[in-house]
Amino acid sequence: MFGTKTYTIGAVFLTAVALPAGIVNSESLITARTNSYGMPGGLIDMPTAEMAPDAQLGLTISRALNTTRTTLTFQIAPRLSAAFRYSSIDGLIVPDYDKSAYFDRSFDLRYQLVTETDRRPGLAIGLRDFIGTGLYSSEYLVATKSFGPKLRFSGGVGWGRLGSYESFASTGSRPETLLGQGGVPTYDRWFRGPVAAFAGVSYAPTKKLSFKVEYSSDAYAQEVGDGLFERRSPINIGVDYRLSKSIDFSGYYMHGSELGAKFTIAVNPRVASVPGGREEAPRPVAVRPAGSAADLGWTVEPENRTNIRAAVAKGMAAEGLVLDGLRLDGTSAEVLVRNPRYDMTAQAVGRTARVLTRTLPASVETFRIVQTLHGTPTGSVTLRRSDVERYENSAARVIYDAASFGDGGAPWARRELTPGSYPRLTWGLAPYATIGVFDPDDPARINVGLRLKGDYELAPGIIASASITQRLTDNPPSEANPRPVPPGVTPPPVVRSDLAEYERSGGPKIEHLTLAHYGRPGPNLYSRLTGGILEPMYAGVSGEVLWKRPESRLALGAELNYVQKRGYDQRFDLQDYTVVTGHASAYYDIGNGFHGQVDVGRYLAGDWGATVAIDREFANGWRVGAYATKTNLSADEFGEGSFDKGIRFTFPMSWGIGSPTKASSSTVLQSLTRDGGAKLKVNGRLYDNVRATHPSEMAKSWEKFWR
Amino acid sequence: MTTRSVLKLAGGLALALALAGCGNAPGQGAILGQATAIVGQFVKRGAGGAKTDPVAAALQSTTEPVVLFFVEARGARAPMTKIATNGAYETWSAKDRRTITLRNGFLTASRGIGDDLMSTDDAGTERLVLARQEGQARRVQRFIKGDGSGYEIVADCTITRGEERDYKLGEIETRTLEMVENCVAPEGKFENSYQLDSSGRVLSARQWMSPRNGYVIVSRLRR
Repeated sequence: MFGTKTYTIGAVFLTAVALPAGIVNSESLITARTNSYGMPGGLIDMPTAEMAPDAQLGLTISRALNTTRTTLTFQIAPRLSAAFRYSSIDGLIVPDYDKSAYFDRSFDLRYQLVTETDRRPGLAIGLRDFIGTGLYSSEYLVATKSFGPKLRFSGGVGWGRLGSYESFASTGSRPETLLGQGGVPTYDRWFRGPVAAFAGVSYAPTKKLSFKVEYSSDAYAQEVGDGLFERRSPINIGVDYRLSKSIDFSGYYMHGSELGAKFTIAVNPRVASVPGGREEAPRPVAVRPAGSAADLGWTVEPENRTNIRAAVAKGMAAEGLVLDGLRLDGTSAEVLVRNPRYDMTAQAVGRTARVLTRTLPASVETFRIVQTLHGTPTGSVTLRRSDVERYENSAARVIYDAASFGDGGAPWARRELTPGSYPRLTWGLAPYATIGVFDPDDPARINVGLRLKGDYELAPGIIASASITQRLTDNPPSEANPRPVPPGVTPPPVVRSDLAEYERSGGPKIEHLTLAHYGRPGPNLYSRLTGGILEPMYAGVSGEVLWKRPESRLALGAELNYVQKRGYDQRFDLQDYTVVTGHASAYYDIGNGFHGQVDVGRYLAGDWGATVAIDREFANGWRVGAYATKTNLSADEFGEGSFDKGIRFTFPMSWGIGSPTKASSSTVLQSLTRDGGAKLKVNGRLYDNVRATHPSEMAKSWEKFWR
Repeated sequence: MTTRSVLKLAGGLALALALAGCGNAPGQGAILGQATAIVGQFVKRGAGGAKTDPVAAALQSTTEPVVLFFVEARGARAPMTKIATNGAYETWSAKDRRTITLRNGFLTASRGIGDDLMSTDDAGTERLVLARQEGQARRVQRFIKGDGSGYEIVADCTITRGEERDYKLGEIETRTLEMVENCVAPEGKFENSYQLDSSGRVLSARQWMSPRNGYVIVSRLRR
């Protein structure tokens, strides 16, 4: 019943958080402040029509009235905010619930319908806790008007919880029963039932300090009824202190009876600690003397080619790149590049081009730079040397327009490759940390350990890979509550919900141990075949095919897996359960930073269905997205939550440290770990690796070409 | 947590951090390396300014032309020597692979400085300043944003003639004419100034480089 988050220990992580200057903008109701629900706004419990700076990701922890709310908020677009929240209320009396605190997950959305101008206020519509059990279920319409940069007034009407105190009207009746097993948007409740008014004022005398007063329409009926606190007044007051660009504290006095506090930390993918990076300068382009391009005399001596190849390899190594192969004739060169360093592939191509101008004879006019995936060619960039010389100091766009992009073609013959390229071993030993959240008995269960991993590339396209962990701490997950099964319902086989059993055992564990083959079955086609221990819970065979044209936004793929469940000690034992899973997938680069993916097929529990995912992606590698999976399991069979859904984000290390690196940290926050709609995890899936070498993806960070 | 488990954790963490740089994968130690580099910068700042004069050291170590690159806000200076020429563009480098690109003495790009100037369109300004004429010109400077995409600052600039000054820096001692370039962009205003010698070459340029760096001065120490 919990999700997990993994990151590597890095002291510099903390230096990465930053916010844009200009926190409060009276023109557009942008604020970096949050309310007790974690949503953007300068009030306390009540919503406003304010928005956070675009792409802001914030974590807010507030505690008041026996309630702790931990909220993750993302400003999806300038006028759309979303939040995922985990709340715990001490002492709430809920039927069939035996723990001392009641835990609840909620999702919020807010959309700014109308922006503020000099004459009119901004107007927003919002849904609070619109999926799930509905403890905080409310809807609202709110207007906010600023008077100068320091003062903001907000007023609005609310339904549900926000319509529970002194309602003045009613729009129909509001059903209380859950749809399905919860986890389904409660559309039958929205904007129905009693409606009440709320209002508030925030005043920020300085950049660091802000005061607020609000009239709350939340009666806290259940909390007051269970004796958690005494609601003496509808007025809440609070003060907010901004400690730094990304950290904020608040103190509240709620309902005339209790104190509360809040802490917020925020990060914005659009603001980097060092914009553009602080990595060292590339080597300058070497310009050929006039007329030297005509000299083909060097082609006569074969040992010239050996010397040239050595010079190119050395030049590329100085940039952190590896020369896997070089094909050279009098006037053109084709280079097979391995890029272990640059997450923005345009930079790898640009630096390769510079090296080629410094090392290849003057007669070579055409450069064809082919990027690789484990030795297999992916996308190619063809440049004229004259253009590289001419445009070194022009805008990056100019060389993009002069370049041609294509498919890198079939794998090269062994004899054309740089001698000594294979076999190649890379390994590393590093600490890791995991945080288990949403465990009712242990809000943040932290474990630390060591990870030894290695990749052994035997030949182009063939790679053996292993990762072994040893946990050093001993914070096992609590006993999972057996899920209640309604009579007459057959639950799906246990494929993921016994995650706790896998985490419980100590000793060294094999995360993965695989042998994989990557191939090019044809033009625009890529293949992968992986066998062995694929992931912590499953072992078997996984095959994948991808079709993607370089210039296309659309890619199609298919994956087929045959896997067996692993033993709980995560070594070599296997359990009895086997399953064939597979998906047909469509990937689409929507534009404006959005990317969508649809997978249709069979999941680990043998259920059939589809997953839809949408992500907001940034050129620097940040990704924030959400997904939902619906299979042919009914809500009763699936269990609490009705269907699988979650939020995921990827944090690129290069953004944090200001220097190129391919390392990144990905997290998926699933609302629950259930057995329906579960997908196999396999490393080295094709799509992301291939698209990074194609022009539409490279264009997003093409500014780094000349970097 | 018991004492034993705390000790086990502490010992494991110490071992873990010590081994954090272990391995042959590129970038294996990158994060730890950056952490120590950042700490190192803080330590250096607190320890006070450098005692040896890097400018004198640079002039002694070579007979080639030398340029001094100075970032005002940080008080950081670095002598640079020319490492490449591409047409009218010259790339100058400091010892630690940080470079600037100059054209006729005007700063057009930087690499490795942090919040680098990626490229510049300033042909109009150059023409007017080098001819010591007053007039209007358009200046475009390009950068990379935090989210990885590029952006430009487009400014309308007015070039005016300033005063004559004495220029004494490095091995150069002469009289220069100042040309001032007043630029207005939607994002803000800035003022660049250039010192020209009697043969019309820019000996020193004080320019607004980029949002995080502010004004920098590029001055010849030796022709």
